[in-house]
Amino acid sequence: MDRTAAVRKTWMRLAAAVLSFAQLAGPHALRGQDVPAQIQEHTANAERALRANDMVGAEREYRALLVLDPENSEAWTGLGVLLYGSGKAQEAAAALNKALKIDPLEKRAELFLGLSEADLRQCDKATPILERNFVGQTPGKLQRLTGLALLACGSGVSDPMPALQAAARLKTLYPGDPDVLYAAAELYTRLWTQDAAELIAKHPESYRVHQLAGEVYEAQGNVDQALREYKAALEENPKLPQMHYRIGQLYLRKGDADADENAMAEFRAELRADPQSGVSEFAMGEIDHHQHKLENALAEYQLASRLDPGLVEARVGLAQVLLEKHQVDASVDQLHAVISEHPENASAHYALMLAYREQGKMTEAGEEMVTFKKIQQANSEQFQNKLNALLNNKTQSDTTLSK
Amino acid sequence: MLTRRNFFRLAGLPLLGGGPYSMAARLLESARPGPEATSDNPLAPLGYTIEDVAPEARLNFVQVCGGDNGKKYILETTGSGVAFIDYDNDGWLDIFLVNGSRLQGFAPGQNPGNQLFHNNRDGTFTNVTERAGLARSGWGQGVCVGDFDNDGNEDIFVTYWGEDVLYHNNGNGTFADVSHQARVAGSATRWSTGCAFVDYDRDGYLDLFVTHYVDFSLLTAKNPGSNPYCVYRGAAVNCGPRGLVGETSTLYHNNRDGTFTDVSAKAAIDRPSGYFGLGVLVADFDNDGWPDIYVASDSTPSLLFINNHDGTFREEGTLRGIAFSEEGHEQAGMGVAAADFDNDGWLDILKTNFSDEAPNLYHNQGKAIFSDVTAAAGLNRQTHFVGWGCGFFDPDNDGLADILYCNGHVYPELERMHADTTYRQPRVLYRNTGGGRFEDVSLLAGAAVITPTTGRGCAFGDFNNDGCVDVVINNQNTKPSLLAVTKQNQNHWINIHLVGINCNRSAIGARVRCVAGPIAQIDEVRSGGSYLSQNDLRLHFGLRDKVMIDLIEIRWPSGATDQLHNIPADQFIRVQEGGKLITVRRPA
Repeated sequence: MDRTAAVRKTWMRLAAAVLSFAQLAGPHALRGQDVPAQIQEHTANAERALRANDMVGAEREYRALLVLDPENSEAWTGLGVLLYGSGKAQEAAAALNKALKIDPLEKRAELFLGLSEADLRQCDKATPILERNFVGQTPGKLQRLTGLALLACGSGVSDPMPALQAAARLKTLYPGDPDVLYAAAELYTRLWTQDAAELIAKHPESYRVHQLAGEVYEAQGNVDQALREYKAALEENPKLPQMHYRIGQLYLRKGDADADENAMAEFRAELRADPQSGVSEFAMGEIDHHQHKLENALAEYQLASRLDPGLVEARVGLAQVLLEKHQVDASVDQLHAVISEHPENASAHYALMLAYREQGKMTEAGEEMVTFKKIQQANSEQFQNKLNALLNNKTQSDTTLSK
Repeated sequence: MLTRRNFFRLAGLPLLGGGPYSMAARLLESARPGPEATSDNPLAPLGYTIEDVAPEARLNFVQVCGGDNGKKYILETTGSGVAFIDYDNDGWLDIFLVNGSRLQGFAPGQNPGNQLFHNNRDGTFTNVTERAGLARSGWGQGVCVGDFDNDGNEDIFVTYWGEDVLYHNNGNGTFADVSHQARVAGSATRWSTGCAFVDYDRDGYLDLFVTHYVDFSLLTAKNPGSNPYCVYRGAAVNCGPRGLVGETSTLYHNNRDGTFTDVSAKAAIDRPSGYFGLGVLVADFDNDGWPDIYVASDSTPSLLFINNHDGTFREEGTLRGIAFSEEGHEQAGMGVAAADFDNDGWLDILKTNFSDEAPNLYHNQGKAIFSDVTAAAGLNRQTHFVGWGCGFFDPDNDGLADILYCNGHVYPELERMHADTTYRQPRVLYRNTGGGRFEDVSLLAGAAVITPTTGRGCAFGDFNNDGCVDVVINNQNTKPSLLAVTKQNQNHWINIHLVGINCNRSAIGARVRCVAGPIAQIDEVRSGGSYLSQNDLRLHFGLRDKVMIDLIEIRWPSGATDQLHNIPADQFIRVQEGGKLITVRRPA
């Protein structure tokens, strides 16, 4: 975990510790009617120290209190929470275990024991506790902390389901929370790695291994290796769906002199295996459009649109080809239909601008141009905002670390 | 193949290692002719040879522009332009090469500078920089030529990251720096790139248009990899231009007294702003007799300023179809060129782009309404190259404008990556086959075209006066190339040098229509163009098998028109405004 998250995690721990102590220090705090004056004094001192953020002082008071009253489960709980908040998970676990031994119903002790064990990567022990508590908690800092700990433990246990469910719930409760998103992404990545490793271990020559390897290489931009793996996958399972399509796209990405030819062959192969593959038909349309084979492109875009009515790009491509064939009215009709359903599609507005221009409708062309530019600007600002958010978060984190 | 042992290394594996393709094989394959060439239908011979004669020509110059193994800042990527200029009016093209600099600096006395090479008329050149008073070091960018004071001698304007420089040609082989006196030096912190002399108000004096790239300062520049705009295919690279603050353009009006006035706002040239201007192309795109200005903009929509005839312009690039790709996507935009490639009487536009983008060929459908015909023309075959200097020219003299552009990536880091593109890249040569189609003949041209290098500025002109247009290229961080074209067919040609009297002396903006039998061509005398470079101000027309030109019609920027009839082919003619044929010369 990077330093930023560690700082935040510590901060959260402390906040939770104070909160939980405040509840401890309330009317339900200490049991027993005969409390020696010294115990009372240490209790009061500990409370004062916590309020003053003097964790060292508070720990000292707790320890002194426990010398006098070693069977004080609340004190063991308070000490345990404090130690957890200070990052001393081992000692915290010991104190909290003592508290639970004295009073097995001490909920706070149980929760923070689970958190401590999670920190110690004792996830088999931690997960049941965290899961129990996470489900029963009301939304708040403590629940969030519990959920994040559950995610951290998610890949270390035989059943990751509690962690996965916690991830879903956390994302609902705290949408856009960077720590939640990071922890969820990390969980999914670790689970991915585990499953991928198991796949390789148990089925090293399976076509699935080749498929997976191809996807990894493709993500890394290693096109040649990705091609080799995908082809190996196909050799073992010639009916593997989408594989010819992916190979075709890689040929195009590679951009060799015969890329179009090779890619077309793959897309045709995909269509033989899956005649409903609208994306393959669309990809062929793009190639033929690129090569100015307008009749072919027209037919392919039309078929792609029929096979997959949601493929907006195919409909825009169709309109573009109609325009190039000087069938301007048909192009305009097509674009009107696209824009009525997808007003945010910049390419459609641009194509319509060109079509209006062909019709001599310069006013309408100008209006489309304005719309097109607005969408471009909005898309650009959206990206820029996200980028700025990313950069600003990083800057703030750097500032925090430097304090 | 994947094994369990190496699987887990995948996640952390950087993009290293070699691929199955050797560089040469890949380049040759990518230079291979398109589908038109088959074993049953091989490509027709070029009709000429093309050879790099720079060493023999004694162009002893090395362009410097930042590092060659890594470039920390975008400043180190743009390279410099080159000019063909007949500075001494002897009828032979001289060469002016712009130079850049390096972040680390140089030992005292070792700073590289711009160089002027005088044409010795025997295929060689002599460095006359010091004598001419043109020695200057700095981050030189582009060059454009024009006789701004109408004294009969071509002057030079050089753009910089820093103050720009206007050199007045004294007429005796020397130049004087009159930048501050003329009030065109601009700001010491500004980055100028493309430029062009243009008589935008047709008052007979050349004005000056300059575009600018990004707002850049070494004090605030970000390091490679510092944000997503500084990463390319997973590698940390120099930042920008996206993510940097864009710029605008400047228009200086010639006051006719040796000074200029910045009229950018008045002329409405200053809007829009926030773009990354590079190549500048001046031409009368709507055939109304007034020059318009096209600015190729990197990663932002390119711009077309249409002349309103009243000292102002209106920007209509998007509406006129030359701002975006066919699908409405922003593209890069570096080099620019104009020609009437289909001989329909309207000037078309070529623009070079970044890798993963083919160059744009915009066909002028009439009245400066353009459509992107890149795919239809067959110019979309090469998409791995970062294109820079470009031009239309007619090396085979068949009356159809062919295309040459030079390439070179901006990230030397690519040499260490297993990527499908490389830092050094070949040029590309397309032959115009008529009917709006081109075919890639790079391989036919041989080593002069397909040898990978780091091309940037390039200029076109017949430097050896043999009737074939040649090309000079200012390669980044290495020596220049001088591609000499030598005729091997029987086609004819004419070379026309115009001299203005009522219009500007350079005749910049003059439109020539050359009719020989069924071949009717147009072109204009133009300052600037290509990538930050300057072509020969003379106009060259290929005439195929015609030995006689029926009509040379000249529309001067002053509005006057002259016609010459029955001019024999295969000669250099000099025509003065008013129709007087001053000189006639046969090829060397």
